[in-house]
Amino acid sequence: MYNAHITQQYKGAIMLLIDQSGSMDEEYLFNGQKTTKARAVATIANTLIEEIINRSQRRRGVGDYFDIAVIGYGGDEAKSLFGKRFRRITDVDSMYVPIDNRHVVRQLPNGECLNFFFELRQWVTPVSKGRTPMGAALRMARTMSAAWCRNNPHSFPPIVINISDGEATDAAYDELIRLSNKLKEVATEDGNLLFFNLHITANTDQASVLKWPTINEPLPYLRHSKLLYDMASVLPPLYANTIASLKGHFTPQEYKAVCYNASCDELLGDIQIGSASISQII
Amino acid sequence: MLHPILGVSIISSITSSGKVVKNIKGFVPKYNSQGQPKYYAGRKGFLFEVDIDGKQHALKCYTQPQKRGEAICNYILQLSTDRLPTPTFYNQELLIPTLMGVESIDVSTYPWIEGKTLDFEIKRSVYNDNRESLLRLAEEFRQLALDILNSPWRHGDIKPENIIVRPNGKLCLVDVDALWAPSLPPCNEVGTPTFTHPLRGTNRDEHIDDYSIALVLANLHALVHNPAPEVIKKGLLFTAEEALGGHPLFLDAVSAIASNSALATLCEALSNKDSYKIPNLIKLLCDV
Repeated sequence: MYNAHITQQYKGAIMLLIDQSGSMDEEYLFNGQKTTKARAVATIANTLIEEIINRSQRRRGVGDYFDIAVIGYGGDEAKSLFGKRFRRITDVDSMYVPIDNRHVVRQLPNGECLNFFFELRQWVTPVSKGRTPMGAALRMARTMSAAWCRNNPHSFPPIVINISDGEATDAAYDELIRLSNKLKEVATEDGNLLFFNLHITANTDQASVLKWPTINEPLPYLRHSKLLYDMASVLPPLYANTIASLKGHFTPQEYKAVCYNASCDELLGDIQIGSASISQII
Repeated sequence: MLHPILGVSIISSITSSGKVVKNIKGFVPKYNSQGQPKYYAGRKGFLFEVDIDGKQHALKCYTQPQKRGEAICNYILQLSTDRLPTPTFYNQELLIPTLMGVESIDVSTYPWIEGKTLDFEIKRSVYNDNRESLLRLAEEFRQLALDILNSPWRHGDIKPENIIVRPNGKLCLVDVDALWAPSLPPCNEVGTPTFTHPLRGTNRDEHIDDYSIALVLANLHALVHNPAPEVIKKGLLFTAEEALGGHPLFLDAVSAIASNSALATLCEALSNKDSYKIPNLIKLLCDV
């Protein structure tokens, strides 16, 4: 299980669920700068899409190694940003979207300053409105992922990453757990869909940062931290060795696919390593 | 560094106007017509086309620390072969912006190898229905395979995309991340499934290239008989999976080349589900 190689014949699928509710308007410290949760989530999503495109770049251009879907949920609805189905990464790459040019200055130990420029395309724009229909997003994610698996039965299973502060308004705890379990039942021959939760909160206390908790690890004292923990997949063994070494564990344990206030770099870095399949590309 | 570095950070560093490399002199990235740096992603990192002191090079930027990468570079430097690029490894060389500061990552450089990939040349020959060219590629590949099998190392990921056809027609291997030699540290590279016997897994021995060599050579000879246009999209006539599963595409290819007894024996080995090793491969290649 979880050893299918991602090739252009047997593509991978990555789906992002983006919380776009009113609470995402709250202030948030991200990459050392004050911003809003909505802006931080958009940056995480756009960086992830850009990174997948970068990793699919070959001599003759971007190769179709991945299909991508993005579902935004806010106000009264969950909405797929790229249409009803997963889109090929080459289609996403050729979409005309605004570019956010960012200038970053970093100082070296000798005092010298280096200027770096990032061109980040804006497939996902910051949105914060109304309620949090996470339940609707999970239903839509299940429908789209199941269709993808039917068309790609031999592929590595889809990876779904939910980025949220956890404040669902259209379903209670039990219903959200039931919906996430239904989502995690979606599978290819290579394994069940992997459901990751990235929990962001306005709490910038170091104690609120936690990645890949084990079953016995105390969760950060954050609202809804248990909900996102309970909804997330248990990471399959192929990730466990690497995460064990990152966490300083002698022997791998059962880790949950959830991060609290982790940076984009950390999330992306961790989900690619440890996987012979994913690391082929991502 | 705990986490692999993101490509967006590496690209930002490469395109920075500041001094982002510590030791490499005269470093200038190359750009495409859209103003983007010319780069390709690989298993271990990103490969950029750059000029170093006015000469074209490949700059490989590793997304994770590379003890094995360094060992491979040092190993190749001891060899005298024109079948592999000559690398130089730089530890903690390229400065990369991180969340709050700067990190340095390992890189290696290789003189740029002129030419197109074997994958490209196969497709071009098929498109032009140029059987003579396919036969020439098959012969050059056979020579390359013999050179590999008579060497103390194995490439570990033989496929047409990892082979450059030089302007003089000779073939050269690129992407040496999966290189095997008895003295090199172990790795968990498994090759590319389309070209690899599933039983090879993470086994590391002098037979890891056997199946891929036989598969590419049999494909090339089958294409001489039948330059099927599907190859332009698919890249080859039949895959490892199709050979092992007795797919009609493979059986057609076998019947086309079976008059050559060495090729017929190679095809038998390609359909052998029990082993990734091909006994007497050197002799078979000599007899093709």
